[in-house]
Amino acid sequence: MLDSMADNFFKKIVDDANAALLFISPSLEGSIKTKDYIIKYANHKANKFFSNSSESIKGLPLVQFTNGGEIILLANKVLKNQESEVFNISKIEDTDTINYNVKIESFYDGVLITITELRLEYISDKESKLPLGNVKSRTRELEISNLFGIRVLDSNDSIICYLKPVFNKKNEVKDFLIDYINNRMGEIADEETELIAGQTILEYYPKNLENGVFGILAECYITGENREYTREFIFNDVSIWLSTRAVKMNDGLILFSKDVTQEKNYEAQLFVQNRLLSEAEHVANIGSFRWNLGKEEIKYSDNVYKLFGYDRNEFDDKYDRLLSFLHPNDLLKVKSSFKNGKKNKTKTDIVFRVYTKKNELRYMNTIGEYYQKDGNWYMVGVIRDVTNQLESESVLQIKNSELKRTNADLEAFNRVASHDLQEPLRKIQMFVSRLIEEEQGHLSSRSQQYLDKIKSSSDRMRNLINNLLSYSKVDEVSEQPRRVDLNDVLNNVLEDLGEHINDLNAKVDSVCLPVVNGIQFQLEQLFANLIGNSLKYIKEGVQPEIKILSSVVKGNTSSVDALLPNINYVKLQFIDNGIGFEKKYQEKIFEIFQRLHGKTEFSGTGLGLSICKKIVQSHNGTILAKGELGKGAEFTIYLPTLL
Amino acid sequence: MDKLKILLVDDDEDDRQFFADALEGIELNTELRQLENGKSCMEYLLGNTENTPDLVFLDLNMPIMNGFECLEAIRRTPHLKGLLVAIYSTSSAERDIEETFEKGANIYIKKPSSFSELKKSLKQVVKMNWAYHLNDFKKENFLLKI
Repeated sequence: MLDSMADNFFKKIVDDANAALLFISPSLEGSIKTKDYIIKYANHKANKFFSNSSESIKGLPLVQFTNGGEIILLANKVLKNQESEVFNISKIEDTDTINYNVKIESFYDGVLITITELRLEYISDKESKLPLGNVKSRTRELEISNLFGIRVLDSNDSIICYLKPVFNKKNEVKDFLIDYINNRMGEIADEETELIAGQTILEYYPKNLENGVFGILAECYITGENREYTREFIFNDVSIWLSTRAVKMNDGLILFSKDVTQEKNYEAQLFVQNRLLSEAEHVANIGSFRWNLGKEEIKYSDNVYKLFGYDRNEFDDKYDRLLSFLHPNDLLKVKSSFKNGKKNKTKTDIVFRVYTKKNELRYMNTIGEYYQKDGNWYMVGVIRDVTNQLESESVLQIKNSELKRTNADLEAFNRVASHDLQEPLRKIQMFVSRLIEEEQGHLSSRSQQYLDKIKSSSDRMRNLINNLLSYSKVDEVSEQPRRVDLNDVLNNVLEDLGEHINDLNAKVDSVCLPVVNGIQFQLEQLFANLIGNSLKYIKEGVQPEIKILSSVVKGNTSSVDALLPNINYVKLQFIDNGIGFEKKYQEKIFEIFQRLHGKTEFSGTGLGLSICKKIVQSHNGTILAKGELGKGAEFTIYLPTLL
Repeated sequence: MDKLKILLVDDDEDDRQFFADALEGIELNTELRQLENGKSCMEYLLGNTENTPDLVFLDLNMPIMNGFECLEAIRRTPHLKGLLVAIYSTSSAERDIEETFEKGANIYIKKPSSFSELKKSLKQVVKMNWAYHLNDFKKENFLLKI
């Protein structure tokens, strides 16, 4: 087939070709598995590659020139599948390692092996540029990686491309042609890589002009110096940050680009977070610091300077400078606290006084933790101005101790009232009762009147003391709240008041009452006081009537402010037809010792309704009064329902 | 029937006087001995085992040995376990009442503020005492609050 003239001409070209060409055909001898090939043709380069003479290898079995028979196996595969195989090999010639690209393809009835030396000239040579295609372009990647001796393609996330300059008429670089670009670009930009190669960089991404990329690349090409840059690119509306290194290679540029979008995002986040932190420090009056214990240097946040009344970086970062701010009396404390913390690496938490730039004394609180990094110990912590806090705390402390004193006074008063006051009073009452009993009929009517006054006054005093005691004891009940049937409460109270009710010919009507959570004896006192009140303030000539109603309301549907929105309340109404009271007293009526009437008109201590209010409040409820002069009074109680 | 032997232990002189007068006023066959505190009460009870009173009225708030301590001491003494003890105090605190019953008191009388009331209470207690002795009540079942 190579005998004709045309063939000879072709043979000449082939013989002189830059690549080593080897045509082999299957040997008929031997078994199928260990098939060998006979070298039917080898060009000049091939001879040089396999041996050193030009004719010697023709007609010889291939197995003589290959190690391990790998080529034979590949040739079998190629022959069987009618596909080509491409791979790279390295060969040491003299002292140099030379990389070769090997292509094995089916050719007529045999196999053609093309071995190409991989050199830069070869890559930039347009004639030998491999056609586009997946396997081929991978090969090209390998070629490049071999060329530069860098295993850049091992790390898959780099974009590698080879650019060739495009010149204008004045021989100035006006653009770069994307001669080769790896698949990674397509992945990142979500485009077919095949469509990218062949375009110029300004065709492919026109903004390369305004974002300065073209300028940088042109400079790199002209000066031959490496250039590095990071730019944002928008591919299909998605922002991609690429960090690129441009290297001049012969008559073109090799670009290695890394997708740093994520890092850029982190950077942006970090920036935002730093801003936030700075804002937060400002708002919270907090500064932060990092103290390099080895170097005795402290790096402060901006707010630390502000806390001390200085401008940013106005004082230096030495530990001793920090100590100079301290109140002399706190110096030792701070030093030993840091010393201890440093020694034991425990958390430091101290309050100390400092003088600010304006010589103002402020209280600072420092909390610091120790950690180790790169063999160095650091302390990170915050500094807080706690002056206001301490001041308000000390005010609180004073108030607290005042409250404690008041409470103690109150307790002492209770003791006095319960025992020491009652004791002499009881004796007065006792003597009076004996006097009345023994001197019955012997006293002048005036003396008798005095004695009666003494008796009623001492009775009133006893009543008062008892009421005061029960008022002050409402909150002190040790009993746990239980389910209390308000019907029982009402019955007990009506039983106690029975005689009085009969005497007045009063009518008490009630609907069926619910069960609530509470303290039975307090609820009895509540009912007794309310009903007792109604029986006290009756209208002359009218039969006293007391109506007791009950319903359930939801907190948020009621107009009563004091009720919680999500709670159901039992609403109890005590309505009477007595003398009532003026509307303006609706609130005042519950105040302690508040009396709307003179003592002579109606007896009472002025504590009854105060006790009612306290009891209702201690049951998490509310009590309201509504009255109209001459038309009766209405007391409404809201108590939380059981559920 | 023999005279009912009553022992009153109270540090308050006025109260002792009221008590004696009231007891006299109800005209029952009684004999009253008055002591000023728990210590003298215990000394008397332990020194006169042949002449143990039928009924002891015990104030709570007293110097040297108070009513609670005295009550405990009485119940710790074997031959006084069945002695009828009435607490006679100004305190109306539920806590105090319960505590004395737990410690073995049989009766709790709050000192009244009128003489006629006192006489009424004493009459009730003295009559109770007879019922107690006649029917041989177990002391745990004999609690009275006046």
